[in-house]
Amino acid sequence: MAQRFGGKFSPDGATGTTPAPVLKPPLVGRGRTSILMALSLIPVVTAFFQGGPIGLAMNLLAGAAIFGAGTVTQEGLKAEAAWAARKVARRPAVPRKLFGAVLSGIGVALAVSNGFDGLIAGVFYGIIAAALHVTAFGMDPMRDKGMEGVDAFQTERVARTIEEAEGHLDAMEDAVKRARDREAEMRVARLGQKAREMFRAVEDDPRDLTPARKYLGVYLMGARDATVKFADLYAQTRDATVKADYFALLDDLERGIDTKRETLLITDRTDLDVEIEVLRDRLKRDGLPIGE
Amino acid sequence: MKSTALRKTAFAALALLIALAGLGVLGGGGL
Repeated sequence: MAQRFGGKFSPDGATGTTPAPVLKPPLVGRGRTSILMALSLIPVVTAFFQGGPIGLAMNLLAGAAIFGAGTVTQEGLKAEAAWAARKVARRPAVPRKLFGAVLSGIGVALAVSNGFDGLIAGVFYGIIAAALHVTAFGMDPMRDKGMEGVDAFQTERVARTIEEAEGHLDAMEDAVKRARDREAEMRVARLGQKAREMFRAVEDDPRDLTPARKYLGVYLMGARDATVKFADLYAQTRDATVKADYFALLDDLERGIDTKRETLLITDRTDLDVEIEVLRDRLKRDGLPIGE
Repeated sequence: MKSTALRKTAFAALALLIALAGLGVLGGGGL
């Protein structure tokens, strides 16, 4: 992803130790889906030299199907990347890549058929195209991940809450761009990074959802609304005090998230201690030697 | 996990198939 210049030696660049925000990795396979979309132009162009309205219509439909295959597959790749990035994830509701394969098949079948005569040959070519598509792009993730051994209902809640929280973060990152202030963008990106670390922690242990819920919901929502207001106001006024106030809010949030994460880890530790204590008591009562 | 080489080859074949089908090189008559 491109990023504007900035850093230590740039005007109003960060001084000293601000760590660079982690960027989202580029989507794997995007180039190939774009090629697929570009290829859909060929049947559209040749459609006009088919010498008949049926051929024209079929070739146009073929172009549409192949373009659709590219778009749907790209969405499928996005969904797969999101699935792979999370420790706890439901499988995508719609198998998009599979639909993409079907659309490729239909597209090729229509392009080959060229009227109704070649329909049987077209179907065969279509099947080959669908098979190649599946080989090229792979299947969709078909199973839920990280759902074993934990309460399904609870994990579901975690997945849903984090999805919402991600939405708030995205909206924030989007809104702050309107402020046209690099520093603010960096700060929001850093907050996003911190928040995402917390998401992963909650995914690791769904019991943390209840204590972390405020941060995932109300606070992030508030931060998003504040960001929208800040961006609008700051874009007009360039008021330094507004910026300082906004940064103070972000600071508070970041600090809050940090402490919350620490307390979450401490509760985990206490839980473990209790488990160990109980088991050791039991062993002692049963007369087994323990190292004390 | 399928190897990337296989994926790339399959994609190249798919692209070729779409291109040839679009250009009307494939098909033509019935079976």
